[in-house]
Amino acid sequence: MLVKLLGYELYKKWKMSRYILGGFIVLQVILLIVTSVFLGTDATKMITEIGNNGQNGSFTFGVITILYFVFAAGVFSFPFIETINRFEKDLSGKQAVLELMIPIISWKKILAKLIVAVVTTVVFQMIAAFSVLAYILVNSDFNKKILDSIVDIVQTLMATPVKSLFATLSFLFFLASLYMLIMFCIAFSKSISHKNRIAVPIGIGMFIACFALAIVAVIQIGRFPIVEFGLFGIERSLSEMIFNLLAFILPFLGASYLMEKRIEN
Amino acid sequence: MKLLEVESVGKKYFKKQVLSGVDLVIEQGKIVGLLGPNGSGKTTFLKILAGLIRPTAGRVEICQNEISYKTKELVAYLPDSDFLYSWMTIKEAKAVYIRFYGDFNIQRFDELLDFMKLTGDMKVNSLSKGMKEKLALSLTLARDAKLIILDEPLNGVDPVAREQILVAILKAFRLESSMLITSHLINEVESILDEVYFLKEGQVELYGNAEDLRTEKKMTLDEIYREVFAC
Repeated sequence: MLVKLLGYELYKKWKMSRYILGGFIVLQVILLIVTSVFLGTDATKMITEIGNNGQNGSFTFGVITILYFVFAAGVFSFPFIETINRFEKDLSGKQAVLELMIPIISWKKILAKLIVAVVTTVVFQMIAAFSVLAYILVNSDFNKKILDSIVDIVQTLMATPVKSLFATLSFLFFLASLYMLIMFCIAFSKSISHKNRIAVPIGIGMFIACFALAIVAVIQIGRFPIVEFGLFGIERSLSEMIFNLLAFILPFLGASYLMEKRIEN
Repeated sequence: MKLLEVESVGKKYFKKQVLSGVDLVIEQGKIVGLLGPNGSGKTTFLKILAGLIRPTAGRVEICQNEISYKTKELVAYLPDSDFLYSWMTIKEAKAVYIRFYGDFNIQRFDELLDFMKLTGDMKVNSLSKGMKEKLALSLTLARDAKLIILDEPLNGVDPVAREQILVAILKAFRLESSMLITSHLINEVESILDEVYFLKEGQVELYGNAEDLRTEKKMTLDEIYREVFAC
């Protein structure tokens, strides 16, 4: 059933974000063509020679660059906004009946939503990062210095594959924990009221309170670590790892419980 | 065989008592009407059976199972409002039901679609209110669920479509299941009901076999409704 839910969630995500993604790619390509074809040399100089002002087309290039980066930032943040909005609607929007009537236990529904949210976020962030990279590379006329720095970064990552993998997994786990906390806060607010003027402040307040609590806990754990050890060149402690696990598991269990037993539609 | 057993069910929202001491039993193979004016608690009661709302008092059992995510497999519920995504085509809505409901009868759904004059490539956001109602009803009736719950299936549809919907309900009804219908249009649904429950301010005011009530009171259900609710 989890596989069926994953397929369903991915399909929904694709249906809801395909136009945004398509529109972004088309816009980025147009802006890239405009800068590289029409502003060619000026653009290259602006990127490779820092402080180069007063060139022909520099104003146009500046505007296009800002636009390009604004769109990239939009794509970068779109999955966050879409996931939060979708989860809120799945619990209390028009389609909530369709979602809540699915005869599958709530923790599986939440897990499927979470996996799809993390995957989409990573994909969108990679697309945004690659588009920015492409912009810099094309407009710098594939400047050797820039290319070398990219190669250096890739080589460093490849030289320590386990550390890189560990760092990637840690990032994904952090992302999942963040989403889980947001989902828990939404579920909590929706278990109290479906009215947005009541639910939204409760949800935001809950998130700020939980986040502040987590920061205080992280600081305290850092000050008084229990069982310290090195893991892939990074200093870790058992208390920190237990806290990270709890920071994921507690909101996950809480959101699943609320969805199963408390949220009504 | 008792398919649904409801005992002293109550629902309270803060200080507002929406349902109170509702008892109801539905035997297999029956079509039961839950009749009452707006605000009488009909939709709340149906949502409790569908597992979307939890009662604050009493006990509900569907095929001897207490309400949980598992009973959602036994219940096909038609809500009184749109619930499909606007980006969906009818084919995609059908795919969702096939994916999650093992009892979804594809052949029956296709027959119902034909009967309702709908096609798979139509998009939900291009359908009229009546067509949306027909699609939602087709999806619900295509399930071989034990208990079929229809909340105002005739709401917002023209008289011709109402007739079509009633025919579809009777065509799709199976004796292994039971059906619970709410409606304001008593005249329209009267002919298909085996039993009726009149719900007034969250309480069962009157109930019984439809034919027995008509004989006993020498009135149609519509007239009994007007008498019970003094309108």
